[in-house]
Amino acid sequence: MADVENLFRSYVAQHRAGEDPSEQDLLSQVDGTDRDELAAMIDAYLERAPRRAWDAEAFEASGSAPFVHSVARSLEGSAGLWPTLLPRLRSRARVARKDLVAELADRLGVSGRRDKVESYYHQMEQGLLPAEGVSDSVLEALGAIVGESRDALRRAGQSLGTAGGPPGADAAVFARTATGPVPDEDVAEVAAAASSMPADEEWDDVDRLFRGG
Amino acid sequence: MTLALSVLVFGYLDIVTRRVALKVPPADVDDVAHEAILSAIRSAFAGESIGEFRAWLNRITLRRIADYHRKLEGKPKTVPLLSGDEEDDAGWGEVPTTDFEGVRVDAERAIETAYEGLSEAHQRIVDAYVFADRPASEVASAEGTSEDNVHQVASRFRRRVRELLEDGDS
Repeated sequence: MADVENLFRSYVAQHRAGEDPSEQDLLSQVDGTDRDELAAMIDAYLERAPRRAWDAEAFEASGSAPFVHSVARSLEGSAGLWPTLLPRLRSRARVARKDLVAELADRLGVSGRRDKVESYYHQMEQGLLPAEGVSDSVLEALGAIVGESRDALRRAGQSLGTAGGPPGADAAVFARTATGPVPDEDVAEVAAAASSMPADEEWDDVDRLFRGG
Repeated sequence: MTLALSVLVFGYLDIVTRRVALKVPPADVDDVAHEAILSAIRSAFAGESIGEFRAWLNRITLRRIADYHRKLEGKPKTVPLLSGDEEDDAGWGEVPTTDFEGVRVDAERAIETAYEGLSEAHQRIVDAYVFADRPASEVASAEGTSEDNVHQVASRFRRRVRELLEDGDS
């Protein structure tokens, strides 16, 4: 049986050298109280470990960029945490987006307008659709599919109020004026979404479900 | 904002992910780690966080791990049949996992308890020698003590952690 102190010191040395030590590999070498002790020591080290210094190339290689963009959309958009939460819930529920959209359309009684439901759902995931306009019926149906309550989805959609995101029907204005922190492709997407939205008097059932509150 | 978030996420995601991996099955590690980072960032931006970001992130990480285990109670353990690209619209399926041999969720309390029982000077020694991996001679010099004393403080700390874990009294 390996010695806990040596394993811990080896872990710290590797991590501080920028290597990628495997916690599970180390823990597999001990059991019982030794295992608990080693895990607690590693955890305490990580709690105090210095954060990684910024390295643009390493960041790109880390695969964290999509997560960062979803967080940015949450902070800058008009749908609170939906850009980060909805894809995660969908993934957790092991539901492909096209299947989710089909199920959502069925549950909402608009199976014939699946394309439009898909467009709105996409906007929800991108943080482009103002959350307050999305009806309880949609959240109820969506929650049943991904295993989350309507109220939790509603709370998650509340604006974080950290920046002037797309202000409801003025999304196109935001798209024209947004600069700097919002990636160009997001601006283009907001503009496209806004231009595809019908005027209020042209709303159908699907529009009312996703925009009528 | 995106650059600031990138710096923040790059700086801490690895650490948070590793902490989560100690107590959560591999299939769910990224999920829980992302949730912890997001919660901490959200709180910071909303002005709800208490103290500095790092301390808040540490606290949130433990909460999200605890939340995960609470939610898991009574649910069968599963992993996705397919993994990777969320945009891949191929079908999903589920298969039972092999048991994940996690560690005690509250094991860190033994460290906290043992650490809080030390004097401030001894806490500095433990921080520098045990957790920052600095040489005993350097720590001894900085603290105005002997190398032997540094070793003794570290050894007593480790012994106390072990006692607490064995007693389950942490």
